[in-house]
Amino acid sequence: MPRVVTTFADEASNVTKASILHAWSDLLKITDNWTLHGSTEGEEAECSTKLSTVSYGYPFSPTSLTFSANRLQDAAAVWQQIAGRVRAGTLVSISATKPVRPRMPFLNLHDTDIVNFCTQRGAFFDVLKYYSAILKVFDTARSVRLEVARDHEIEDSEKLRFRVQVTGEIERILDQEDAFVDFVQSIFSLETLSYFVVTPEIVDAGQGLSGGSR
Amino acid sequence: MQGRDFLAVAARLCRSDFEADRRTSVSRAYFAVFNHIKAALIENRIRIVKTAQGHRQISDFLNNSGIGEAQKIAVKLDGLRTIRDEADYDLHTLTFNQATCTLEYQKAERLVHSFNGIDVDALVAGIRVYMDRTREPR
Repeated sequence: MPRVVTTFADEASNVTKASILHAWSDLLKITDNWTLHGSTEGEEAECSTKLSTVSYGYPFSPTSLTFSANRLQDAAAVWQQIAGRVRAGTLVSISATKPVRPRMPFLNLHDTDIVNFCTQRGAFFDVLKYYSAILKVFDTARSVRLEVARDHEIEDSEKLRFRVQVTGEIERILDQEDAFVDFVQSIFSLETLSYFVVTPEIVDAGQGLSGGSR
Repeated sequence: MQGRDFLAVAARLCRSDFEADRRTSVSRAYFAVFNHIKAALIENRIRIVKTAQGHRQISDFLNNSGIGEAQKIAVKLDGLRTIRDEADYDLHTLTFNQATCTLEYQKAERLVHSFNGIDVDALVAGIRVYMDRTREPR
């Protein structure tokens, strides 16, 4: 079990708390039998209600995002429930400030161009969902870099490009891309899908192919 | 000469030791798929404009045809176009190693194969419905 990063309720403002929970409830599996991890390896407690295993860390400040009032309220209610456990001395294995799995690719949303792109389309959470889907399907992803890709020929054509550096054999990566497209088509509308594009790039391929510029 | 003939060029160049070859391979891979689909649509009297907008048009048509497989092709074709755009215009990037260029070539092969498996009559019918909805001239 990975060593977990903890967030105490008292450490965050109400908006931050709600934002964290909102992001979590949207992006991570919430099941009936959540697992609460202790702060040290091997320490684990079974509770009736708890967060599921943490898969990803989100290196952005949730307070910079906007949410609908209803969802914010729902998230705050969930947080309150967890905060009760935090006050009771239980460490909850969530964090919005550090990746829980250290090797997980880091998603940088700080670029102004990217922020503007997302803001204009109200697409912040879709970006995170898309990113989450990438990590879920491309299991050898080493890095995920975001950029706004503007077509040099087609007027007014811009997409948020996810450059995914992967390792492995070409056939497997193509199969993963097939699976990825199937998956994102099942969770996004056509319009939302049109905002994004993913381009896998192979690094350190296992087929003896060498790269580099020349 | 058919669009998919470009696939042979892409296959020859994708493992080249020279970056210019490999970038050309990615570009040809995209145009193989684009021209292959374009020819099939034109053959079925779907009008494709002869400007850069034609690229967007084909993606839109596939995406809105109501045919699931065509939508998948559209998503992947958009990805291939994006990397083709980089291959031809952004010469400072380091994306185009042999493995990645081979990936794009093989992706193009798959896309052509996938497109050939689509019921073209159903695809064309779906596109016509979309064109009527958006009042696009046929």
